[in-house]
Amino acid sequence: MSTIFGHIWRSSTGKFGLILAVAIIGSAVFAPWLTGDPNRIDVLNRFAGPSWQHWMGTDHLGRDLFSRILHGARIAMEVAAAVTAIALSLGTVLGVAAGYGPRQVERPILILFDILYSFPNLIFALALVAILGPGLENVVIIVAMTVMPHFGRIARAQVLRLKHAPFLEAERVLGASTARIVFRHVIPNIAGPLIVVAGMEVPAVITIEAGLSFLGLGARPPLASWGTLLHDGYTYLSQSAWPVFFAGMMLTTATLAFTLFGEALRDAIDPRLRTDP
Amino acid sequence: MTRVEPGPWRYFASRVVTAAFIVVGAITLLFVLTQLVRGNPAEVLLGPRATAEAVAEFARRMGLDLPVHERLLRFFGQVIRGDFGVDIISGRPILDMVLEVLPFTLALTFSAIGLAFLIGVPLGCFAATHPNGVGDRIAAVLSVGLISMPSFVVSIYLLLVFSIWLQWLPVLGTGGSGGILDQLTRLVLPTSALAIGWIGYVARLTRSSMVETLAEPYIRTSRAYGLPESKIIYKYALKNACLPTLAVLGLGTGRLFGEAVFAEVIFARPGLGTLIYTGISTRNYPVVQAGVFAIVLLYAMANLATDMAYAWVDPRIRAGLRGTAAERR
Amino acid sequence: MSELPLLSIRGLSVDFATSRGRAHVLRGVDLDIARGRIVGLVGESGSGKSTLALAILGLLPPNAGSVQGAIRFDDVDLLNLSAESLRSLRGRRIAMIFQDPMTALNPVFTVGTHLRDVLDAKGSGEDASVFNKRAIEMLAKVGIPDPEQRLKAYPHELSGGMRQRVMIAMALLTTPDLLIADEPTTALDVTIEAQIVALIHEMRAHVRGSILFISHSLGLVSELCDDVVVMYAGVVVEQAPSADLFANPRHPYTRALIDCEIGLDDDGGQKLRSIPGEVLDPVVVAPGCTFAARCSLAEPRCHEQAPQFRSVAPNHGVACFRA
Repeated sequence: MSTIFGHIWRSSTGKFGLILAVAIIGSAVFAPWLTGDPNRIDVLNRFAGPSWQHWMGTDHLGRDLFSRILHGARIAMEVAAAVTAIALSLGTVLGVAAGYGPRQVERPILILFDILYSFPNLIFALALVAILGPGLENVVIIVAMTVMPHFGRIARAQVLRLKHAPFLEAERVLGASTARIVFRHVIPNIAGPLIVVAGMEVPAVITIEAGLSFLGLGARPPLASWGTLLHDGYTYLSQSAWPVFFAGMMLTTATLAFTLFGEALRDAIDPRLRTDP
Repeated sequence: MTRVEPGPWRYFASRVVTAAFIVVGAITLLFVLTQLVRGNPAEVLLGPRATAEAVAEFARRMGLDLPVHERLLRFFGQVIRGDFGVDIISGRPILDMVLEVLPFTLALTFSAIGLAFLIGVPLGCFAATHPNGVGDRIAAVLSVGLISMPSFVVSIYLLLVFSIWLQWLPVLGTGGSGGILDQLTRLVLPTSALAIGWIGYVARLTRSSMVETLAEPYIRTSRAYGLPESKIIYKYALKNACLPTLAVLGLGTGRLFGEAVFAEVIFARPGLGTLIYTGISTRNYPVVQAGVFAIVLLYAMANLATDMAYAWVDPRIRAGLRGTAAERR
Repeated sequence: MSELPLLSIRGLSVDFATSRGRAHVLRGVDLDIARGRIVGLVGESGSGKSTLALAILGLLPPNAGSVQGAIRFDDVDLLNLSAESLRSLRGRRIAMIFQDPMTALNPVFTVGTHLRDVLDAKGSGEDASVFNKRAIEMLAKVGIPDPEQRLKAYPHELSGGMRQRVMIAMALLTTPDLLIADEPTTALDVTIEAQIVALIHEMRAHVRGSILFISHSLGLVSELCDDVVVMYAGVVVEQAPSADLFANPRHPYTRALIDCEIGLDDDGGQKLRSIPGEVLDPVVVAPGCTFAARCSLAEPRCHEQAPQFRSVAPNHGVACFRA
């Protein structure tokens, strides 16, 4: 664990990403103590620019933007955590089943992965929102479904690689049950690559959540998601550029931070997963 | 079973089958989605403004009284015929609505992907041939930054700068009535917004695969025969180096159809994205369904085209000796 | 030998930056190639033969650190030449055939493109149809059947032997003064090897210049070459006319090499023999003879002092105290 951390810390981009990511997670966790109420309306102070009182200015209802952006980090991180947890567990279960199970099990799972994977994921999300209706819970389910095949495919590939490893053959000869082999040996051995995938998916998840919320299909007002902040800012763009500027910058910074962190994590844990530059 | 010899036809056939597989999968998925609805699907899917007759007609269309597998077959039949029903708001056939906006989305997406490649590939080549130089470093930082900025943020920023601060370009809408020049001007900002992230991605990809290619023995051969360096880079290396870049073309076009939704909504352009978006906000599911299907179809076609281009560049793929574009992603 | 040699290498040293430190791949090589001669360069893998070839062409990989000494080609110092002048020498006056024909040809271009671009780079000012004609003639000359059709073939559609013939055709199209062949048969089957060797033998008539033929096999070199240069761990240890070297090898390493290849034991049966010990680690800088650690004749001074290259007979030089 300390070696992984050391590896990330030695790469300058990894260090940069790690510091930013920790700062963002920190502000998400401590947002209520760091700032005031994100929903406090102050109509006399609409579209204010940055000041000592409002570090990032105020929005069309006079709400403090700094507070809203920190609380937005909260939503982004919650969604990212929830999506990753669901996609990771579902993808691992299906992937291990496909890799370890008989052909009748493997086949349908692979077909499901292929279909989910071949859909442009935003379009898939739009189709699902149209059915399930807007809302943050639905966004979580939808995004989890679209990223799940990544985990599933990696899990399956790792299982296939491990399946005939001598130490597993030995366990089988000694009469270990399938469940024991899977939980004691397979899962711990495939955990590394799966964590890497989880790290690499976070930026995409943050972006999709913000995008759907921007379209009014995710977080519902008055909830302060970066996407809804962008949407409100876009609506009142001719009055004030600050909301759009800060929300966009925050979203970009978060994506950048988790991308750099994810790449450093991948290089530290399993450089073989490097598929693109 | 006779074994088909590896070769161009076998390759072509396998790619077409894959594309068909995506489309069939998509239709099935769209069907499954309608099964998730609680309550009377006809009522829910048509939304609040549907009349009782419209609901009854839609229920008949879906074959709600039939068993599931017959409904699925019926749905397949309708989709393949392009029969998506009639829009309850405008009363027009939904297929017509899709076909009407399709050219706008195609123009936007293809100009964006074209721009990304026209700028990204030379940028990547430059960075690869001047490794660790100032330009390379700037390009590296810039491209990571650009990739990290979601296209809808870029869209809003561009809108802010060019139409609100500078007031240079008439940006909203397509300028459908203003002639070709007006249409092109209005295409500039949304195209750039969609392309910017991809420029960074393509440049990064081209750089790394170019660096790898330049270390290959066959490049040393070209050097040993005194070929001009420009010919070595832009002919002998680039054709090899562009393979991974081509592989992302299909993927990229597919994602761009998705991202186009934002650009279309933000710049108030008609298109498949706007159609789907309006469909969702007015709870008009048949329209959403048709729009989504159109995009999946385009996506499958873009993938197929990529696979063909891939085989065109690399003769080893035609001969079935190497993996497909999809496998290299 | 009154005439100036075509290629004259003096004190050539090449270092590579590696993770373990500086690797001294060439440690002061002296080598002459006379005009019109075929010179065989022999040594184990890792002795620096390919590095020497690449140094002549100015194509050392980027991690080659310091390059010292002099390489004179017809009175031009190749090491001090500008990149552009060096480029114009390559493919006009110096050509090279590479070891592995599987990777030395560009997979996404046809044989025809390879050959035409070689002619184009030579700058003969003719047009594509002339190029095509000359390419077809050359393919026929190097023994490729159905040359018109082969022009449209991609490298993967040809066998290893055919690809090496294509490489040879590329080299011959340039009509070079110096042709370097870097283990051109190592990657091929034995039967194909024999054919390619025969082809190179035949080609001698068509190359008006000299050939530097690099190989790890003394037998092959003895068939083909006029002169033989033996390299060990980045140093030339012996140089002599072919017949002389085989009749009267002076350096213990050369003798060991000959023994390894001929390997006849007392009963007249073939026996596999090898030289005991390992090739000197290029990262290590040790005083004395590079071969001392493996040499059965080594005496104390061999470990302390490097022997100078000296003449022991006309045109026969050796770097050994005991020779």
